[in-house]
Amino acid sequence: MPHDVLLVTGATGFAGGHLLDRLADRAPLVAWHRPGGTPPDPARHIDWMPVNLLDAADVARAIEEATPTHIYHLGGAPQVASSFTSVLPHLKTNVMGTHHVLDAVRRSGRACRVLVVSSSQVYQVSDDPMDEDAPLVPSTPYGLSKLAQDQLAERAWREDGLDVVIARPFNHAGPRQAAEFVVSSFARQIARIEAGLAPPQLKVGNLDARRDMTDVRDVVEAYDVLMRLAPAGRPFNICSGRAWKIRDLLEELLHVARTPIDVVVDEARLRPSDVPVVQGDATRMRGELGWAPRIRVEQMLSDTLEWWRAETRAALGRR
Amino acid sequence: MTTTPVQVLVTGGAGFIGSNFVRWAHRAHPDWHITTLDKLTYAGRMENLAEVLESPRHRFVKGDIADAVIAAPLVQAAHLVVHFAAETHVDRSIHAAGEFIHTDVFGTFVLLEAARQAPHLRRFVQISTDEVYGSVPEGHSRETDELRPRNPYSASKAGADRLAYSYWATYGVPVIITRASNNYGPNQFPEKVIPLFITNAIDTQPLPLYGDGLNVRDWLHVDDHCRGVDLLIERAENGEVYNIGGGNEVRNVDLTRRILELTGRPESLIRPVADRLGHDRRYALDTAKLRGLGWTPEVPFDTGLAATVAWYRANERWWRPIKEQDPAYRAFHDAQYGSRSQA
Repeated sequence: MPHDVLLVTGATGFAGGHLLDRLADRAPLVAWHRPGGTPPDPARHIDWMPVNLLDAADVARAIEEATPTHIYHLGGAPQVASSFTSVLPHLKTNVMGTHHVLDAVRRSGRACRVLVVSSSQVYQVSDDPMDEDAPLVPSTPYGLSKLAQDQLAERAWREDGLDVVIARPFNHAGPRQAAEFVVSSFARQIARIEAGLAPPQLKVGNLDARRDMTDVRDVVEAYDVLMRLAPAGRPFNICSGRAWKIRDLLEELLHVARTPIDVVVDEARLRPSDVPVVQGDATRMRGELGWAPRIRVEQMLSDTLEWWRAETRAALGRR
Repeated sequence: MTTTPVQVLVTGGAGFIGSNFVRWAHRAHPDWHITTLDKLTYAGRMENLAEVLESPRHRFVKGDIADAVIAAPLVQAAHLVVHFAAETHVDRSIHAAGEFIHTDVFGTFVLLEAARQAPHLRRFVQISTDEVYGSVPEGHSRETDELRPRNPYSASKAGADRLAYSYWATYGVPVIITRASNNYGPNQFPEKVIPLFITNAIDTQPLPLYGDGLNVRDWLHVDDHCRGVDLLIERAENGEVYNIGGGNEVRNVDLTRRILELTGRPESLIRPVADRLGHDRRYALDTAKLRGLGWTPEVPFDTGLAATVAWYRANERWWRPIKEQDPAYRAFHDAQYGSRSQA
């Protein structure tokens, strides 16, 4: 893409890092990170910019400077257990941050396609697979902030004619995910137990929940496909269309663990409104854009464990 | 209140443009009863009509337009005839022109003869092509310009185009003639440049680009073509010719790069090959006459091309068997590109 400039917000995040891997070398790549946040990897050919998403002027200045043709807006506060006790970061970063990005693009007057990452949590809880027309009734503070973000994006397309693409990813996991998320939590504990850093007891929350899981590398491929091919203003689920029981994911991980491990339920790991099933309907992505996940769940689990083993070895080496 | 059904005959309705028109018209006109007549040669595919096959307002007849026994009764029962059926691929016409004369010229003659005897016929739409004007180095072809076809395909289409006109001038058959620019969109047989390049790119295979890649085509999304034909059925004057062009003049090399962007593939896949014999440099249409009737293209080229790439990604089940198993496709492809790679 000779004249394209790609911009990734939230580039130090889990999906952001994998997206940079995918986009690197394709076109000039600008990556935003939080001022004072994690120091980015300097080895990559990426133009890093510290940008405060909560500061409209800072966002506008950074967009003027980068002149992006494509913005992958991944920046925001992720869904973790703390969103029940602390709502403000989500409302601020997700909602205002998205507004600032869209507003800056609108004011710049330049053609720029924006991918806004919404979430499966915008949907009403249901036992059935959720398609893109399912009722938008979030049941978590995080979901509420994502719904506002989703609707800001839709409005920017409908009313202001911005070229906005809307992704609604379901759960994803894989190497480099923070340990607050279930698969990563299991994998990290197993790696530490294997290394002799923890007793052979793995602490778990609700194992009966079922979640639609996709490997993060497939998810960023979907972002790439959406950016290239999706019609503007139309939301697309990113999911496998299959819900795995958390217990089965755990058993698969224990199956590849190198030592025997006991499973212990930890009350603190149970969320206030843990819904029994989250399952997406993947028809639209597959039928209209030809995308479907390619990485098998077993592969996702073993790659995640392998990454935590390497992290654990590196941490031991540093001591 | 019930309205009397309009009997519509679409020839070549299982092919690329024809099937898009059949599906489009079936949705847009609840009072149309459509008969698709198609020989089902390599480019006519029943799966293109899956959406309408079960409909009580559609029926399919397999047959050759040049076979009066089958074709003439269908024409005579029709209120509208939209005649898409043709051999269409220039490269094939250079290898073997005979079938082009048979289908494009003689087949059209058979339909026109039947049209003389059709008691209720209101329109006979002859789908011609911008290629009848020949190569235009600059400016835009108008409907009154001289026809200078330069390959067997465009010459056979020019013959059919003028033959249709003569049936208006001589016998008063209510003929109108459309000359559209290069079409693109879903269901196009993967021998044509856009689907060939998209499907090759999906498979990370080389994209064989003719000559210097600077040839220019004016791309028209097939939906805009359908809307144009539909409007002309309603508003055209009999005996008149109407250009239908997308107004998207794109050099082949830029088209190729854009397809690589949309499929996320590197430019190193571009493979220059020896140019087509007598390759027309540029076609471009003046569409003021059609625009004067209220038509304007609605699909921007970038959007339409992205949607087309998405369609081929999502419909591998449609094209993969053609590319991998269809003997007609393989024979053509080997003859066309087998020995053309430039060192």
